[in-house]
Amino acid sequence: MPTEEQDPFGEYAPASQTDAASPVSQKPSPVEVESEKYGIGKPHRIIVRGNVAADSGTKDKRK
Amino acid sequence: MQQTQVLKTNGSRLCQGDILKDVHWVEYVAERSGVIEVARVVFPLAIVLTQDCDLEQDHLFRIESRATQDKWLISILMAPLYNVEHVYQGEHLSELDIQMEKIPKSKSMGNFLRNNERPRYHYMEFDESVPIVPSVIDFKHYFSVTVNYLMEIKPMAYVCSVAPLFREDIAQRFASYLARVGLPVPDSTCF
Repeated sequence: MPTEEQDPFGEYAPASQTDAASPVSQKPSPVEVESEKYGIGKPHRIIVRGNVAADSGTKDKRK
Repeated sequence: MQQTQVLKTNGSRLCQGDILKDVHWVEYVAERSGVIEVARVVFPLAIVLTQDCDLEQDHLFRIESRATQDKWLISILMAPLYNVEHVYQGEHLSELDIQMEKIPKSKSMGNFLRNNERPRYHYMEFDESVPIVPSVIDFKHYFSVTVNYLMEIKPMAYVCSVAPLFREDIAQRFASYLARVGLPVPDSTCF
């Protein structure tokens, strides 16, 4: 099951806008709870959502 | 099964055979109605497969003043390491809602896996001093990440490096797997 978290992701979503973007349900990563050995856990998915800032990230900057 | 030997390097550059933890791979980026969504898969362990001389040249061209960026890489090839106990059960990707085939540990399929007789997989077990559980590299699941990303996480994510010869063994088996020729299944209507 995917994990959702808040992440401003630079210019695309300033923190002030991201705060209200999506609910947070943080699930601990299997790796974080490892104590002695690495590789005990399984790959997992993290999904981040945030608002696109009004005038950033959408401009075509090609020359 | 012979134990895979590893070493700890303190070099600044990335090397073929480096094993890193918590490697994020961007699965997709989507934008809907002004909301951007980024999905990442976190691999608990992954190994660098890119040719070492390419990594060295990339490093030299980045740290030294050169007339061109000719040797810069645009991505680094990696493959995930899966906990072999999960692989036996076909459950190593269960958190991604992917069901894999079971490889019974105590039957011949399990032996084939541990003896590296299946081209797709590379089994590794380590000395007790190495903090990695017995693991399997799945060559079919190779993925790429950027140089900058790996350099950024390396100080926190570096676990160890597979030692020379063992590293070459992995690289050679990966290249062989990738270069395999997929022959068509014979069509019964053809002669």
